[in-house]
Amino acid sequence: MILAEANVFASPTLPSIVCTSVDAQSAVSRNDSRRRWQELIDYQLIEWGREPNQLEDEGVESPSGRTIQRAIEWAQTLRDADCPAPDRVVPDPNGGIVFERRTKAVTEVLHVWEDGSAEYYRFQGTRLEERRTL
Amino acid sequence: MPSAVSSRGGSRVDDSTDPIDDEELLYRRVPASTGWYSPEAGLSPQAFAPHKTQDATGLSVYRGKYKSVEDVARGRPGKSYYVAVLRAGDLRVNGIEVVARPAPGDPGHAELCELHSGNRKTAETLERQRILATVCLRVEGPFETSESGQG
Repeated sequence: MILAEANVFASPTLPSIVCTSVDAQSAVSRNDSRRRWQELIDYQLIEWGREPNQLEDEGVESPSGRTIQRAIEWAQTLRDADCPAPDRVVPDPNGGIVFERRTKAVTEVLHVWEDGSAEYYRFQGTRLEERRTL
Repeated sequence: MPSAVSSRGGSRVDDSTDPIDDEELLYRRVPASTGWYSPEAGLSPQAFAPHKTQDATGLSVYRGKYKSVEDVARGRPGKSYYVAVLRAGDLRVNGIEVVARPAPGDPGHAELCELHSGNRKTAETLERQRILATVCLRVEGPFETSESGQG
């Protein structure tokens, strides 16, 4: 994504995250990516916050307002760092939120858990090659 | 008579129930509202993520031998569902055991023992979720459950 294909997360702490993939993207793709991030914030995450019951089902809990807020903060941070936008943002069944971007066999994931904590994963195929608490 | 218990792939398996053949198809219900499946993006590994309390002994699936896809897709009234179709043998070769766990009135219930509430955050579970999304044969639906609760 987002993320580690170019050491996107330079620090595990939120305020000092720096996306270093900026140079790898053209101005056009940066603008596309920023627009995509904004769409995810405006039309998906904020909508989940407005109508949380839409996600609730048997074995599926809606993300809390706090978790959604954390996910929005992450999205804004990564948007502002010109990180490539994720392909998909989905809830997990426990009230967490998962950002995922796939490039060929590599999948990068930002997982905001239901308690607001966040982790970064990088998979090569189905193998978990990197995992970091953020 | 005590039930026969054997070990497969490191898991203890109760063989006292109708065993699941490698060729048997298994169904996993996927709520459409979650976005875990779309024809464009495919199936998300989150469709196989254990719930923190409701999957205490394993992730629920349903046996094709006992239930149709339409039966499995029947969920909450007014909601839509997809059904992910898997083959038992494809799971086993990847180290994921599936055992019959019939419930009252639901003889087709089964569980994937290696994915459960207690290990939902482990690296192995995250990888197994991804394996399941990869070996999924197809996804059927969406099927809408009517307001009266019928499929």
